[in-house]
Order: sequence, then structure tokens, then C-alpha cells
Amino acid sequence: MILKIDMAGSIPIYVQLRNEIVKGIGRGELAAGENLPTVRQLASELGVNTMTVSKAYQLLKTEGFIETDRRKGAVVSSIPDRGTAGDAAAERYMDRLGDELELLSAEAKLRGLKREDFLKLCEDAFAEMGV
Amino acid sequence: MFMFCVFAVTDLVIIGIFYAVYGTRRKYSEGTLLGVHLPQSAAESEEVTAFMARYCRNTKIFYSVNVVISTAICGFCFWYFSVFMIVWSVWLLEFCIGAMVLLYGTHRKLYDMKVEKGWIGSSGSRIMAVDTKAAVQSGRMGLSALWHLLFCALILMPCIDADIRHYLVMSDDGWIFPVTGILVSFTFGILHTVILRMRNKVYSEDSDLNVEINRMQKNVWSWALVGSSLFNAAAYLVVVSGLDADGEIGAGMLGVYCIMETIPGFFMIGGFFYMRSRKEKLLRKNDRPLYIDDDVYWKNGWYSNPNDRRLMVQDWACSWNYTTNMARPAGKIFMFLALLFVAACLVWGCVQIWKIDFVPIELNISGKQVVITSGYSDYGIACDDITGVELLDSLPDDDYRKINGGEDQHKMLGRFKGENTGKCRMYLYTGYTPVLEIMTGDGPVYVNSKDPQETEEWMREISVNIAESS
Repeated sequence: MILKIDMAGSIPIYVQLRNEIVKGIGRGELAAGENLPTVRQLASELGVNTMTVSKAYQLLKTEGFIETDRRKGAVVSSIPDRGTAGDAAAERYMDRLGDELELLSAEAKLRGLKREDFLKLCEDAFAEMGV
Repeated sequence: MFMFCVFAVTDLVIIGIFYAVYGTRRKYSEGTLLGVHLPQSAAESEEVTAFMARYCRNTKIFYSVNVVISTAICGFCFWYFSVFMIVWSVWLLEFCIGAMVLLYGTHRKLYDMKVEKGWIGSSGSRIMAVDTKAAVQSGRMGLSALWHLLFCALILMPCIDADIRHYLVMSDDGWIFPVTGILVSFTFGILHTVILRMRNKVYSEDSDLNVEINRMQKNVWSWALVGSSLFNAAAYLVVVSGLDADGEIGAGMLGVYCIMETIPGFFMIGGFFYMRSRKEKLLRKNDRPLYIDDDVYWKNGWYSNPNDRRLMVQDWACSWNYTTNMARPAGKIFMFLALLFVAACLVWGCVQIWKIDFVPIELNISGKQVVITSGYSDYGIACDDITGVELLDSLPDDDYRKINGGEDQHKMLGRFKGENTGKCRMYLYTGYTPVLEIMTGDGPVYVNSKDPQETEEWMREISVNIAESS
């Protein structure tokens, strides 16, 4: 997949990296078991410090999106079964998602967006996800 | 005549390469025209078409005029070579600066037009794109650079032979071949390593296409460099195997060496054209092109991006070249030092050749030593080493080959070797007589002055000194 990073944006680069990889997994551009570049390779390609890439990978590993192995490097994790959706991590995620959606909904309404249009946008974004 | 031909051909090659690389960048490709990202509709508009037509005309005039000027300048070779070198250096600077101003000045005008018209990306872009699939496969692209170490070892291999070692130690200039060979292989190795570590370029949203193009480029480059390094090592081994009993290299062997050392040039040029053609074929299949508009960082011709940590980036004008990121202090220092080095080399070269042409040949006896000074080098002969002195009507008739020094229609300076005379040194004004021959243990030394009386005076002084010493 193609990662696009805004080098002068307000969002930290490691967060952008994390977000791009998550989106890539969501869209199916990064398959389960697929290798990601090593920290050194990705840092060299982007022209950033290895610590920045390392931080992004640590975050993704903590969230369960990737696994790291000293020999294989970073590998995209398998998607967890629906059966595990009720576990503590998933519950925390649902709470966070709810908070973020509340903010997005408030901002959308204040900017005059209709409910149907907002839901259509959400539907289109979710439809892009191949997973 | 020889130098006239050499420089005339060299100038044509320089101008030809510049024209091929910088002068023909007029086609709209990969979403850019003259290095400026534009939508196709803008590139085909009347205004841009007329602008490019003017640029084409100016380019052709510039290069044509320089072909004429460079050839005319070579006429100075028939006068003083130092004068020619100074004029040629000035022309070279004019040509290089002029070519860059023409290209980058036009690039800037096109960029300004883009900003004025508000064409895509004119607000500037700070996006960096990376293809993860290409990045993962980076380590598996191209041949290993370690091959060059093998070729360096091949060059050192003849040193196992005691005779070769003796030759390298005792000979004045025999070390040049192995040292040059190792430096060349080493340089190829460094270039090879740098190319393999180059970041992958993203051409398309299609990762497989990105991998294919980047892999093809790194493969072609690595094969060309490994092949070049191999021929460099082979050339040296051929020369070493052809050393005669006196430790000399014959003209035929030297010719084979030159031919073999030219072959890497064909590898590089052939590789370049193959890469370009293959890349164009692959990009025709690109139905999802990805263009990152970073024109704002290139608007002045050089790259200046404070958000980019890289010191060296690939040049938009020529993908073979790398340029420095001038937003970084190290980039500015590197560029300044590189320009200073080039200027210093040109000035130093011109000064050395000027000295050869215009510093007079003089002979002085200081203590028990005869010292000959010239623009090329100074040479001291201990009076005890002088076995004979004679005033000749002219230089002995022989076929002299220059080993190290300068030779033109005005002077013969340095070390020579005659078919019959053997190794000798010359500090002569061509066409002036008499010629003073000083016989030494290392071979004869021939020296003269433009004033025949001065040459005779040298003869008398040396004779008196030898008589006093004995």
C-alpha cells in the first residue's frame, strides 16, 4: 500500500503512520500475515528518525494490529474473531469510538450537515474497508 | 594537432551529454513538464505550448553557439597550451552555468505561471509517499555491492608474485596501475552501495508496478557497476601479465588496457538507455499514476525543503544525479565545498600549465649540485653523479616517448624514453641549439637555453665544477 504522510502537518508523524497503516488494514490493502517494512527501511524511505517509526510500530503492536518478530520484522496481525469482540479491549474501543463519533456528530450538525448526509458519509467510508 | 582533436571531441561529447540530459526535457510525462507538476490540459494549452516553443528555440541556439565557440577555442591548442586551458576553463564555466540558468530559469517561469493560474498543487505540498511493498523488498533488489571487494582482491592478487612486487616497489610509476584500479573498483563499490540504498520512487497506486520499476532500475545499475568493476580488474590483470623483462608495458598492451577501461563507459551508457526505455514501457501500463507535487521545494532550481531530513535527494532534471537539500546547513556547506573544490582544481591546473609554458628553463650550480629549474619540475644532479658533459648541435636523433612531463611545439620537459637512448630527462626549448648533454648514472639529461651563449656558459661551469670535484 501507499502511505502518505504530511511532513509539516499538525498531527505527529508517528500518529499519521499509525493511522495510515490501520486504514490500509481496514481497506484490505495490507493483508493478515503481510510483512511491513522494517523500522530502518521505513525511516529511510520517509526520511524520518527511526524512533518515530519505532513509536508508530509500538502503538500498533499495543493495539493488536501488528506483531513484531526479531527475525521476520513487523507483520500484520490476523483479524480477531467476532467472538472476542466482547472482551475488555473491545469494550474500551467501543467507548472511545462513541466519544469520537459524538464529537464528529456535533461538529457536523453545527456545520449544517443533515443526518442522512452524515450517515451516508459513514456508510461510504465503511464500504471502502475490504475487511 | 592531437590535443586539438582530443579537446574538440571532448567538447562535443560534453555538449552532447548536456543536451541529451538537460536540453531535451520538453515532453509532458509523469504529470510534469520541465519538472513542474501540471494537469495535462494546462500542459497542452496555447500559452504553455508557445512558452515551450520559445524554450526549445533558445535551447537549440544556446547549444549550437557553444558547439561553434568550443571548436573555435580549440584553435588555441596550436599556440600556447596554457592559454588554451585558461580560455577553455572559462568556456566550460560559461557553458555549465549557462545550461543550468537556461533550464532552471525556464523551470521557474513555468512554476510562476502555474502559481498565477492556480493549477493543481500550486499551494505546495508537504506529502511524502512510501510504498510499503517496495520498501519491504528493497533489500532483495540488485546484486550485492560486495562483488567489488572481490575485484579489488583480484587486482591485489599479482602481488603474490615476487617479481611483480619488486617491480611495484622499484618502478617510478608502476604503482599507478594497481592504485588506480583499486580506487576505481572502490568508487564503483561506493556508488553501488549508495544506489541500493536509494529510497524507492512511487510512480503509481499499484504497488506491483512500483516494485517492478524500482527493482528493474536497481538491477540494471548493479549489473552495470559490477560489470564495469570486473573489466577494470581484468584490464589491470592483462597489463600485469604483459610486463616485459625490463618491467615495461608495450604500446599494444597499453592499447588493450585503454580499450578494456573504456568498456565500463558502454555499460553505464547502455544501462542508462535500457533503463529509460524499459521504464517508459512500464509506465505506459500505469493506469493509477500517483504524483506528489513538491514543486514549491524546487522552485529556485535547487531543492530546499526544511521538512525533509534527507541531505541528498534525487534531481528532477536528471535521475542519475543527486542534489543537496539546501534547507539544511550541511547541504549548503557541502555545495559550497564542492564548488570550491572544482574552482580550485581548475585554477590549480591552469597555473601548473601556465608555469610549464612561461617559467624559463634555468641551470644553476649550487655547492656540489647542478640544479635545473623549469615550470614542470626542478631536478638536482650531484656533481659526483655526472660522468660526462657534452655540447651537441642538436638532440640525438631517436624516437622519444614521454613518460612524465610536458611536450609541445615550444618545449620538451620531464622524463622521456628513447628507443636507442633509453630513459632520459629533457629540459629543452624545441628547435633551439646547441643542446647540453649531461651524462649521469640514471641516464642522460638534455638541457638548453634560448640563448646559445648561455648554454655554452652552463657547459663551461659544469666542466669546471667536475674538474674541481675530481
